[in-house]
Amino acid sequence: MTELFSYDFMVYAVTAALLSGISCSVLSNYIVLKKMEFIGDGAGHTAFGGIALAILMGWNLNLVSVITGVIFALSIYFVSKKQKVNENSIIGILLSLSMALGVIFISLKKGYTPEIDGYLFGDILMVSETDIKILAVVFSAIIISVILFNKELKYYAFNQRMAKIYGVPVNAVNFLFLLTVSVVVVTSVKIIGIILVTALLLTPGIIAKMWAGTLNHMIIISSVVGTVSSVLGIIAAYYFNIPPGPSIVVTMFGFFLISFLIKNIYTKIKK
Amino acid sequence: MTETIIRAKNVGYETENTLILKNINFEISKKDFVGIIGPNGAGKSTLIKILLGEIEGYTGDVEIRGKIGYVPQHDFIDKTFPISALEVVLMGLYKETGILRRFKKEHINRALEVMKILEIDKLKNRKVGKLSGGEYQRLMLSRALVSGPDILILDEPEAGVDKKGQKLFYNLMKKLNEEQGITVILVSHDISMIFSETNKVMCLNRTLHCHKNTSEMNRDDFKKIYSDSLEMLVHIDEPLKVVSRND
Repeated sequence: MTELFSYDFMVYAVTAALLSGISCSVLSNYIVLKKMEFIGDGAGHTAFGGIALAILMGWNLNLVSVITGVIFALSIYFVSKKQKVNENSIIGILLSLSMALGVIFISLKKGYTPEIDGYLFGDILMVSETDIKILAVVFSAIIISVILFNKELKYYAFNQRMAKIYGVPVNAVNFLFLLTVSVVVVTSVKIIGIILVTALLLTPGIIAKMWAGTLNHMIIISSVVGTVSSVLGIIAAYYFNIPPGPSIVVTMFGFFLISFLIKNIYTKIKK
Repeated sequence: MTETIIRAKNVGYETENTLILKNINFEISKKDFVGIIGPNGAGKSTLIKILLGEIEGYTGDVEIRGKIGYVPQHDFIDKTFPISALEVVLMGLYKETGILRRFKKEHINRALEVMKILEIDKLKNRKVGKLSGGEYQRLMLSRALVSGPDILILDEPEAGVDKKGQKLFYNLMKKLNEEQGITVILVSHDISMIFSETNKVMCLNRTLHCHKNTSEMNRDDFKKIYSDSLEMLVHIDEPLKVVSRND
């Protein structure tokens, strides 16, 4: 086990998994409570277009990914607000558009592009020191935001209309939330992959909701689930030589199954 | 002389070429207990949203001289949402703390005090999804009252509550109106309740057809807003029978 951490790439991979695992898990609570399950899928798939463009043009991938995420968040926020188009409809349109553009960009690039597989399903070897720094900044921003804006986020998730009436700045909270989810997704794709990032943005929140009495308990439970399954998933990926994304998702599903069964047994005994 | 607390002048609202409200003029005085009646689609909810400041882009002027507390319709809530009754009541004090500040002991005490008056203080840690219809209604009222409003707006508060609970609720409204001088605006489909509890009635159907003392209301007032869909029934100690049909 100790030899696992004697390689720099594994230290980077585990650190990245921890940071993105906790970041996504914390956000998953609000996504689950607000029933915005489509957002992770949308942000992940939209990132594909940006990544493909960066590969085609030889641009800085992190920068282009983050810009794509910001454009995605801005588009959802403004179109759904001003034009009264459903949020999910916009996400669906942008998702397919970006995937289509991504495929066009990749097909325009001469030769084979093996790295694209890494972005689709995650790749331990792809994580660099810069990625860790970006993930650490995003992670810190999320934790600080959740502490500072705890009640705003709680009331925003509980009832957006009433929160607005009682003075909660829900438009600002909504915009920052969309932006944070988009940035977290694009910075997490190297470790979990575009296709599977949505699992990290849902499963911890779903498991936590089964057991938590308060939103703060939910955040703690989901963070533990996200941390443990991300680290176990990375270790399994190393030993079985499989991509980390599917490995983390399968581990997380295992936790969901165990949680679901225990909850059902617990509820039956309680009756 | 009675003091005007809400004044609406030539208020109108339309959306995507659909007229919702037109030429609405009224004044509500302090300590009034006003009932707003009207058929579905009459614009009652839109008028409430204008008073609450939720709708922009309406024409005319609305002047409000006081703090509003609002009890919404008993709409769908996620029964598994992990939020306690006390946390919901504290939402009513959000403006007093604002962003970046936590609720203080004083806020929590005030919330518990209102919950005690409405007899739900023992449920403070209970998840909202586990409250009964009546308890949830009193929770919504606690949230509306906790900031000490001058005006209380209730949008169909009888929905999801049994008859006994409704009666208790309206008695409470009356008490708040008479003893604490809170102006109450009640939107309801329950016309009998409006007549027994309020002192003024506003009849709305896109525009304001009448706004007068409850005791002065007559059959023609109903005709104006309910057109051909109204049946007036009487229910004493005999089977229900139609006493007036508007067609």
